[in-house]
Amino acid sequence: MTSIEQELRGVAEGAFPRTPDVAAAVRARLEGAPEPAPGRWWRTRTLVVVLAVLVAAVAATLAVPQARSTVLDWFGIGGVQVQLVDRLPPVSSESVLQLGVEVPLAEAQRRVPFRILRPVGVGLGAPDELHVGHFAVDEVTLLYGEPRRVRLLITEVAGKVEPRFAGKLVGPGTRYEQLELARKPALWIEGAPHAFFFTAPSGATIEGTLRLARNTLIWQRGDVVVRIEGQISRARALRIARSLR
Amino acid sequence: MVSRPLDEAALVARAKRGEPAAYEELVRMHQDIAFRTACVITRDASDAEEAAQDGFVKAYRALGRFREGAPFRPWLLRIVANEARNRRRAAGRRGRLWARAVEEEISGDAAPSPEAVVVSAERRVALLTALATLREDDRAVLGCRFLVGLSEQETASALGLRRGTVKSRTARALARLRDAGGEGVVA
Repeated sequence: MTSIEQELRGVAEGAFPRTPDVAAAVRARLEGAPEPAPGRWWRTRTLVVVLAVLVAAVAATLAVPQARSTVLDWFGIGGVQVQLVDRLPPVSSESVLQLGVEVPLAEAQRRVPFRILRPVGVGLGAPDELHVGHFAVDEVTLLYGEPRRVRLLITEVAGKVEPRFAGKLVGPGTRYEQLELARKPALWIEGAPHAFFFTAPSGATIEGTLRLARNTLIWQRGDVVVRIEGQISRARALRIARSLR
Repeated sequence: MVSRPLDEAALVARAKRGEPAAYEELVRMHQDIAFRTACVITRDASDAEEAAQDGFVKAYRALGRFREGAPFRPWLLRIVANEARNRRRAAGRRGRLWARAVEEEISGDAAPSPEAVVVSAERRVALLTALATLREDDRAVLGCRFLVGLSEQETASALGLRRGTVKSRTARALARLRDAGGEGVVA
């Protein structure tokens, strides 16, 4: 064997990061909900989705202040319509989270027509704050961290109350992936922050609700639409989603 | 390379019957090599982790098509490498991984594998830097063969090449590595 081959073998140990615990992650994925299957749900539902959001998508884009960006594609999930745009409209850095009022759990539970789901066994514990908001629909938000320094948001809304209540604008620096989680459609958005806003039933943007959002998993979990948002990985978001009880 | 064909065949059979615990054991046996192969292709640790994870999950779902008694590792590596290539294509690419490895090497005290010669810190940096300047296909084949430690056949399987191509490309890439400043004297 020539020397350079031996030398390459000699540097191998220092050339790689430590191997992560792939085995445990794979086991968790196999035992939890069925494997997310990118694209499957999208293909079968394309036509329906496109027809359903055609009018609304255009209306919402026009309604976003200063949104002159071109809509390249759009689709909907769980009452949230997602538009892929060539660039994001300007979003004020002072835009704040619109979470509604902070209430105790029992009060929040009285206000929504579904049982509030909470993450179990993923190291999150009880949320630091619980809010109920009424923009287009009644929604519950579990907030981890503080309102000005949010670590994680888990937002839940009754999926059958209002077919369309919020929108997202996704620009070129943001990736998205359509998934199936526990046989229900899900959408993962990551990368550069994207824009989020609430819409009225007419499709118009509700004034003052446009803000930037971080990595987000949206999951139409039966009657409840769940949004998990924060600076988290796809794997972490999926783990949290699967842990909801 | 430590080989446990009997254990492995039994684990594959149990995993095929739907035992996640058996499959977890199989993953644990191969996760180092799978992750490192994915690293060579993606040059990004988090992409490599995802590729390895997704590859193992896909392999589990494809176990029904796996011919019993066939070697499991090349089959698995092909699936993981395919996931890694898809990510590399999607991400356009950066090549940060070995740059970072080079930085760490400067202060590094990584243990050499038994079959390798001891390489000085300066020499490590020179080698890894030279490797990073090679073109993609040369780098991938050297990475698989000598950094991950795959056989020619496994490298062929992972990179989707014929074994003869791996052989000739390895020779060509080693020559280029020497030209790129990777030439040195073994102590």
